[in-house]
Amino acid sequence: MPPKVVTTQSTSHQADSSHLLPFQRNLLSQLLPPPDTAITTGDALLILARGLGLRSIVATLLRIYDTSDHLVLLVNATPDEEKGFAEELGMRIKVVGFDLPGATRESMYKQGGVFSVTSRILVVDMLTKKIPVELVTGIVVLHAESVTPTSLEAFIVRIYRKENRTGFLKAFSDQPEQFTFGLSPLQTVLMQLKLRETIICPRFHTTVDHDLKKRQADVVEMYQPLSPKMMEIQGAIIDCMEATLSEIKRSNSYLEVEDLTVENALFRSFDILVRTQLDPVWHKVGPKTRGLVADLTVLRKLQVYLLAFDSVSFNRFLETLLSSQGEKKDQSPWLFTPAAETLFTVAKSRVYIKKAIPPSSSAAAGKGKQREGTVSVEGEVIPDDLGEDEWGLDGGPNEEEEEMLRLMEAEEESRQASLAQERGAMPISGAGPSAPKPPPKEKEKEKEKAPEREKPSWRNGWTPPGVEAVLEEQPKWLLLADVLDEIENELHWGDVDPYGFSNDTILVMCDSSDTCATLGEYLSSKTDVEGGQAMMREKLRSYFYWKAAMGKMQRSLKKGGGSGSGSGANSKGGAGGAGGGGGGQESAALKRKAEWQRGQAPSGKRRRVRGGGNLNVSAQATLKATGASASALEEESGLVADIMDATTTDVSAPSYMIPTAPLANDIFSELDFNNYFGIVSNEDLVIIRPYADDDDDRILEEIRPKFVVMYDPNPAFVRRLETYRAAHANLAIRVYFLTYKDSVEEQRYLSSIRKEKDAFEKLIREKATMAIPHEAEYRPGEEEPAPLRAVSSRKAGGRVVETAPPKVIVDVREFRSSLPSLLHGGGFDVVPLTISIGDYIITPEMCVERKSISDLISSFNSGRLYQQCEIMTAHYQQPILLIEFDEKKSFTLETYAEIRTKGDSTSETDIRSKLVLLTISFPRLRIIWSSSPYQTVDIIRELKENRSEPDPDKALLVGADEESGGVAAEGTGEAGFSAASQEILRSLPGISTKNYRYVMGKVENVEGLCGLELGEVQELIGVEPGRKLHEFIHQDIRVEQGKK
Amino acid sequence: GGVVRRSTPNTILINVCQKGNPVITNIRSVAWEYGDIKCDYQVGATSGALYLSLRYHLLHPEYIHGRIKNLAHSYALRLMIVHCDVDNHQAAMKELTKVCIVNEYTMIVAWSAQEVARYLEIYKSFERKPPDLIKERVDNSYMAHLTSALTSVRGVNKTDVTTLASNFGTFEKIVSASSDSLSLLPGLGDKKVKRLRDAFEGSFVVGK
Repeated sequence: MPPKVVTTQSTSHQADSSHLLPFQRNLLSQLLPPPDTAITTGDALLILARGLGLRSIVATLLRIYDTSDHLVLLVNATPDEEKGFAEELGMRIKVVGFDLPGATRESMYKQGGVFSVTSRILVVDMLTKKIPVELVTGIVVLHAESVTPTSLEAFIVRIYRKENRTGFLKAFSDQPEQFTFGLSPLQTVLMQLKLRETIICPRFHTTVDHDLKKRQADVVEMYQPLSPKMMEIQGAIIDCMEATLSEIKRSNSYLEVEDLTVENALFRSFDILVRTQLDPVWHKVGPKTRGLVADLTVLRKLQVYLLAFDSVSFNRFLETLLSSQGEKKDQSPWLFTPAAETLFTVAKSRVYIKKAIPPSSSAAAGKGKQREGTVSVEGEVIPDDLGEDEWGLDGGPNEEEEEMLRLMEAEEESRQASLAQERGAMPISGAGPSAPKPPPKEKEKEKEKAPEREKPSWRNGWTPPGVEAVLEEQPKWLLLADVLDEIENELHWGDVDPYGFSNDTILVMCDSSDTCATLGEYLSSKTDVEGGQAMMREKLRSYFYWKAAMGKMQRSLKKGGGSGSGSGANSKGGAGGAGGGGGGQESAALKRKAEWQRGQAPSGKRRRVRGGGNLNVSAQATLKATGASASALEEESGLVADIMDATTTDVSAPSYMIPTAPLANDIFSELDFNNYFGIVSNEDLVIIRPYADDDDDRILEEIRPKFVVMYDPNPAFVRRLETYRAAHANLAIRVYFLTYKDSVEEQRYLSSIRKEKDAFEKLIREKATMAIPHEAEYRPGEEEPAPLRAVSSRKAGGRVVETAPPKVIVDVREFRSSLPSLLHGGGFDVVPLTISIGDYIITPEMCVERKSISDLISSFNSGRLYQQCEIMTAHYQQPILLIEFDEKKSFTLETYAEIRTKGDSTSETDIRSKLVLLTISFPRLRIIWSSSPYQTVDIIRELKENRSEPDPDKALLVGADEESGGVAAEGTGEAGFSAASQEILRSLPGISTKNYRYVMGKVENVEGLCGLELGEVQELIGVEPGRKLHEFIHQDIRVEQGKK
Repeated sequence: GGVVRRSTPNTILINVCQKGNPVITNIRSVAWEYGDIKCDYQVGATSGALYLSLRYHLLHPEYIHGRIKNLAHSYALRLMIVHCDVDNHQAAMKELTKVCIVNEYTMIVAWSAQEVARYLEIYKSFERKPPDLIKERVDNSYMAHLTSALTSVRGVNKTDVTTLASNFGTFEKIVSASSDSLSLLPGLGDKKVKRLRDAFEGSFVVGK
């Protein structure tokens, strides 16, 4: 075991910190005190503003310990950070994850060095003594903001400090905002990490400011206004958010309202804010409020996507969102606001305009959909299988609607007469008081468009007839192109960099890799004449393929509900011919009618026309604008599906997911290559990258760009540039900063800076006033603090015996919950094992299956709980179901029961009913109702009194023979952490609690399972389950199954 | 055992000592009558329930022990329906949990008289019901399976499931899709894509 002599931190730190800025060196020296100081100095929590080089500081620190006579653990690092550290240091950080078997881990630890270990594994390894805790040189905790009393990191620190009092512990965080929630958040974290010292270093700290101010970068700020349509959408989303927020406030008068603003709602932290306020009363708020809170998250995402996605993708996402909404009654309220309607219709109008196509017969097919939007026109076909209720969205027509109906009837009559004259004419726009701009005008705004009446030449059979592409480009694209042109000029004509440090590389930074891909594509496919239209057309094309697929999917999903005749009829017929013929004679009339009907089209009317529509189904072949209604979307995509079927024989893209072929463009792939491999072969190259936190520091150093374009604003990156600039004398760098003017993006940028500043000020205040209890740290000489809250009242009764601590066997999968940590904190000997039955074995007879409420609901639904109880009952005398409530939430089932009940007293879906059924089925099953994990610890302690301790060897064997073939034994030992792959496996049809372990022993992974033939699957799990599983895996939801 | 049982199989039998308990007035969907029984509520031929209000228990902690002793092993399914009507329930709940396990009672906790009544009604009406409702997956539709399979990957939501299904069609194609084609889909960021790929590629059994 190499770390023979525990070298305390004070021995050797010849940290090579020459590459750091003075303030960074200063921070580092605070963490690495001189040799002769007390052992605890240097143990601290460092909270640093993002972008100030946290990675470099930690990496410099870690490098000191990269020798075999140290054992340093890096805790709470994400996989990306692990990679980043390894690259930054050029050293081997040994990464310990789920893929390493126990024996390997043990021998790795013994070799010493710096390890990054997944917390759950580290806990288990510490408990099972695979890692020599007493020899650990020190622990470095990243993301300290996420440490809570019940988190695994707190558990790790507790074990660590129990057995090792000389090693160091340093914690880091660059998320000051996270410390603003709850009561004395800083103190809580310090307590859990057993630290006393905090170093707070905001950007406005004088030393930082001094270092960064010395050299300032040449920054060009550019403000791009949003396009009018984007503006409209942005406004609509904000309206939806406002409506949702005021709805929340209205129904929850006890909320602290001042924090609930749209501005705050633009941040992810808002969710936490709302939840912390609502949690204690979560049972009172009802499913409606819960839904509203979730809606806000969705809306916030939409704001981001509006700017990040191209118009086609954005519309596509909206449609996906709609179709994933369930039944009408479960749909989000904001969908029913006028703003949502604007949102959906305008988003679509950025993509294409629907024009009516003349029907081959005179039968009128057009009808307005009640949530009709600006540019929509109907010549729609409604499949017969749509139920009435899907139509009657808001009940019967009101007076106004009746009036409208009459008007429409008149209109309908006159329409026939006017058809001829109107042939070819563009729609009349003046019909409604709020008549929107007619589509053609909208079109003229576009730079270049195919001539009006001609079909654009590129429309070779794949656009549904009647569709005219608009394909609005993101305004920033053009701006970016201009900036790049300017830079190119500069590169060409400008002075040679006198210092010769920077490359002629242009670095473009944006928010996501989606944006990266899109920009790369845009820049490489863009032409002077057409801009990004070629790319957009490609996107539109893939959109229609997708939409067709979606339509089929929904139809075949519907099949289950029976009655699917109408759609079948739709899919045949010569749609292709129809698409080609005719010149939109009906369009004007239809359009006008649509405008008439924009208000509320009574459902009776609609149905009347519906019959007519069905007669010339495929000839209609038109699309209906999506109102904010899932069923409308469903129809529409059904239609597109038919059209695609009928018209695309030549274009046939059998796997029409995303036609990617044209993207494989030379320039792009080069870019792509460099994105991924970071080899800069070409001097004047454009590199597009997403922001990647501290990775970006290294990128700047490596690429040394002369020009940086910040496509999306990012405060942290601004600081990175400052830091980078400060670190290099005589650096030539120019920064372009692109923002959408008056946009949510701009607002978010500004308020995130402010929020960070506020957070730091709050932290500094808390630090000043905070009283750290003595127990925050225990070091040599200090006594171990009393176990967490868990002192048994009975213990005081003179029965305190100095015997071995009570033992509990815990399934390793359970280590993701907080109970094992609390058990350990409560003085239990926690034995991690992979056991096949139950989660906790507390006595030789008592086997406990723990369920949180949400687990309980889902395992009832999947039938898993029944199987688990069956197997527990078979092997243990006292099978116990532990129903554990969340500490922060109220101790009552009420919260959960009401979700489903529909008034009738014995609704079978009620969780109570299921519980009743379970206890009737298993009269021997005992139930523990625990209001929190803390309470559970007390109860387990109580139950264990005067009982014998569980035997790990026996627990391991129990039920092992149950597995058919006994293959599962392979997975036992400390392995068998249930990764997501197992979870997926267990939720597949045909897989049961009884056979999943067997399957796991026989099949490598989910991919492997999908590759099996029917026969092989059946051999594995039996004929019927095998058939089910195989069918599930291979059933194409987009292909309609005629047979069923 | 519970010898004195009347032959009225469709009613809940109630011990006279429960008279005045607001629970009784809340039993509405199932008929009930007073009967000479040892438990408080007989909700099936072989199942009997004791009712215990926590507030009462805190005042008379010995009461329940007498009842338990008296009831002995009378029913195959012995229920203790605890009415949790105090805020400070931890100590009492802890004690009662142990009492129930030692004496082989199944504990049910309710938070209101209505809820207690509700449980009694359900017990009675489910007396002979087979456990099919909880034995198998309730929603056996394709989407339900797909949703529960894919959402077991952290961060993946229902919208993503729809996105995946509509773009790839089959589960097999979703599983075999490359990271690149996954990340082209709207809403699927790098993290989600990585988690999905990890879940598809990751071995079921570690260290094989």
